[in-house]
Amino acid sequence: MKGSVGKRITTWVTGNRVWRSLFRHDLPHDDLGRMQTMFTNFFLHLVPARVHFHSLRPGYTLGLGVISLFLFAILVVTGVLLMFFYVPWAERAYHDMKDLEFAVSYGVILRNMHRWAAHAMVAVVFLHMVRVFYTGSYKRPREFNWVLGVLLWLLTLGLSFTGYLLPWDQLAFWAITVGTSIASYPPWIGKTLRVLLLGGNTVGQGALLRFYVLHVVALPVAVALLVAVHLWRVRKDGGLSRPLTPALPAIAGGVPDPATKDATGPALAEYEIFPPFSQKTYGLMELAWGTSPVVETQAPEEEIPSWPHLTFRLLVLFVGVLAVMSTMAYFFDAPLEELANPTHPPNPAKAPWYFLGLQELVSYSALVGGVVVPALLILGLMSIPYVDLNREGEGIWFTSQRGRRIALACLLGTAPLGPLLIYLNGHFGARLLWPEAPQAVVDLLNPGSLLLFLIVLISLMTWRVTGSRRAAAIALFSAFLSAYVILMIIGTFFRGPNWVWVWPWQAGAIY
Amino acid sequence: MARDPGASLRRWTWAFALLSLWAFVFFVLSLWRDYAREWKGYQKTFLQMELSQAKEERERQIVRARDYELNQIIVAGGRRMDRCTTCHLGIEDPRFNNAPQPFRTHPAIAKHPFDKFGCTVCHQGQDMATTVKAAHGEVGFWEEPMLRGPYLQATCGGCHTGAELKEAPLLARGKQLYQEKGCVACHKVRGAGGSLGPDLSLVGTRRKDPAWHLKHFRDPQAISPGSTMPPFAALPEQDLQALTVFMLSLREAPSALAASTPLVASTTGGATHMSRTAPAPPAATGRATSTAGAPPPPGPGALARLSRAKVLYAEKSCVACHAIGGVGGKVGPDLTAEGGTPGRDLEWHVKHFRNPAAVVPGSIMPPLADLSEDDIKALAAYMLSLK
Repeated sequence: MKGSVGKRITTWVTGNRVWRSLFRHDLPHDDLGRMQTMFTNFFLHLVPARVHFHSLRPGYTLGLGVISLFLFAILVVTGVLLMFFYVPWAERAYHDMKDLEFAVSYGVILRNMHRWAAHAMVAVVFLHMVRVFYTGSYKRPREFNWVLGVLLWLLTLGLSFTGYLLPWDQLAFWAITVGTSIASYPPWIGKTLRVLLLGGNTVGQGALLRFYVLHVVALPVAVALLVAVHLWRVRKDGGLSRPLTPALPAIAGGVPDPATKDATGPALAEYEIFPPFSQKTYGLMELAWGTSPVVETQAPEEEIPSWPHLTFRLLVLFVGVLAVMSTMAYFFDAPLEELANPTHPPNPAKAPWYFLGLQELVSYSALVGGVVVPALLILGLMSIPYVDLNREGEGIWFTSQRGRRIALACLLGTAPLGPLLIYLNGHFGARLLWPEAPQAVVDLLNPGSLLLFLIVLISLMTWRVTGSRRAAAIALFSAFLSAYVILMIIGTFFRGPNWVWVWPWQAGAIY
Repeated sequence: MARDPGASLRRWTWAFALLSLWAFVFFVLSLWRDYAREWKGYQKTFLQMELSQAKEERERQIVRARDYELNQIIVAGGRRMDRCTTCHLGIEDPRFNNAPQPFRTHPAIAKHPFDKFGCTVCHQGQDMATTVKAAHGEVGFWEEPMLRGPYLQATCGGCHTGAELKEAPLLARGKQLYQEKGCVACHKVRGAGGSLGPDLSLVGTRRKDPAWHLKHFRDPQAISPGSTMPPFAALPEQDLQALTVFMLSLREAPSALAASTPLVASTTGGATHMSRTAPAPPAATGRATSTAGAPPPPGPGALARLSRAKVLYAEKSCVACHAIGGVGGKVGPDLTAEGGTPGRDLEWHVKHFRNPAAVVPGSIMPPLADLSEDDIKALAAYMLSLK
């Protein structure tokens, strides 16, 4: 009788109209039921009902896009909670930080989590872009989604940068002062841009209010919108990118296809397919217009149900991100320096870490660091899919073994160039040999522009030798990536007072 | 290549279980970290001490009913919140005269009620902090560590720039030594002195660490290479301390007093008036136990005025003719106790600055005609603060 009582209660709970209106399906027991549930659930329907098994390979996506999204979610939640305790008023802001630390319940944890998740998001979004580039995922029909991605990367930097000012301590004040001075270098618009950003000529109450509004309203709304479009386009463009040649024969036949050799991860046979699997169900998105790779190349057998394979992975990834962020928040406190003091600049005053490569370049030439490199970076990145039109190698890391070698060679080969040029500049720099040199000469002959010149040269040589635009693009991207990361590291750890070279273990290098 | 159909899902299930456990552990640790705040331990100890001191059952009941709470004294119109009393619970209770710190009774200081002045105005330290190290300012990025031992007298000199205070003998000795040792030959204080060495008018704001000053007096070159200042290593330790106290006292007026000081002018409804005998009710001053911030200060700007006046006093070379606390010329009257001169109120000083000879017949002091109304009033308020 006990069993029947339990059953009666269950029936009463799950059988009434309220429950039925909330959960329209019973817990599904087969693929068809799961797919129906996914279609009718708002959150689940963000992912397709069926997914190509290639998209589930951890070694292919590294989960970076999804991790960015989860970090953004953590940032929104912690950010909204922090807003209850913060007033963007120069006289109060710093005190509010102290309140968070010493008086507000969970204030420290909230702020730590927000801070570290923000840094992580800047890094992960960038790595996501690197992954998408190296796997050639920007190619037709995903060109526009790549552009959206670049915009999202810029918005992420904007969010981090605007958030940097809010604590109103010395670190915040001077990082923004330096960062916005980089923004003032472009001709004609630079000065106006800076005044527009700061609401004045210096960082003050006007800047704090503007950064706050940008940080908590304008930029998050823009990111949320663009993320929605970004994800929607992933679906409309036929899911995640994958090799154009059907992978199934290669794996099933036991003969490794050289094109997919590097694709790591479990084979299709490893996925549990839940019976019954007699009927094929196509997602609505597969009825979308256009020639999508789904229709072109995909054998239906390569698709597997998203539930549980994709949905469960998303859940695991989310819990993983949460675990790592809460660990960071527990062990490492977000920095807070002295109250901002406009009359007492620290030496050196450094921009936020992701702009330190630019600041390093600006230290040689404002033209190179403040104008040429940022412009090339943004325009170059956005135009990649419209220059590299060949779909060769799509969905494969580095396109081919040759591409992998080129990428590796450029990443490692370019790394010592930066320090070498900086060393040479210190001993035989244009200003040293010719103290009265016109600015144009210094703008041309300094580590920054020479590095840029060498990188373009490497890329052109690669194009010449291989005849492949993709190979040239890989060379350009890798060399640029390597050079920028090295410059960023130099700016962060090797620059002391008056921007002179110091070793990290010397006093005053890191503050 | 594994061919087990369930292998992949099983792996992810394990990952889920382990990661969930990991996240949960740190969730609980975060809750604990927030709950187990240092100050609660001190409050617990204090309540037990109060309980043992209580004589009647009624008293005990009141003590038992008390909960943990953050205490703060709001001064300077909300710009400073001294939370020291969260742990220093017995400062106003004479029963804790012999109790160990942080509970010991604070000796009463005349005219400096704790609920108006707070603690950090004299002791320094970090006003809003609620952990021992941070509150005492002995952490990075806090420029005013708590002044301990003899150095506490330095903050007296931040406000009492005039005559000697018998409560601060070391400060007086420091001033005396400053004159005796001829420091004035090379260094300026509020406009008086030589210009060979750096101006010391605000040296206490620039260099807040007593150890720096001690080391510097013993061997100036060791701390500022290339310095031509002679070492004072031969002086006894106590004299070096006295000099250090005087150095630390040369500072901007403390912000904590901006809204509550009874000695400076406050603006009400456009009219500036001075109320030395009956201080204007300090805005938003008082005790609060909530963690919420105070409303924005009404902005009397008294702090700014006093600091501005000190700068003006130096800029206008008043010091050439007048002395304050033994520093300055002897052509005009000594201003050390100017604020105590009977019959001289704010209006008198304003009038006097505009046209000295009209108020004091025969005065040769030049009129400060080029100063704005605000500056004149600031200077007048400064005069009244000297006593």
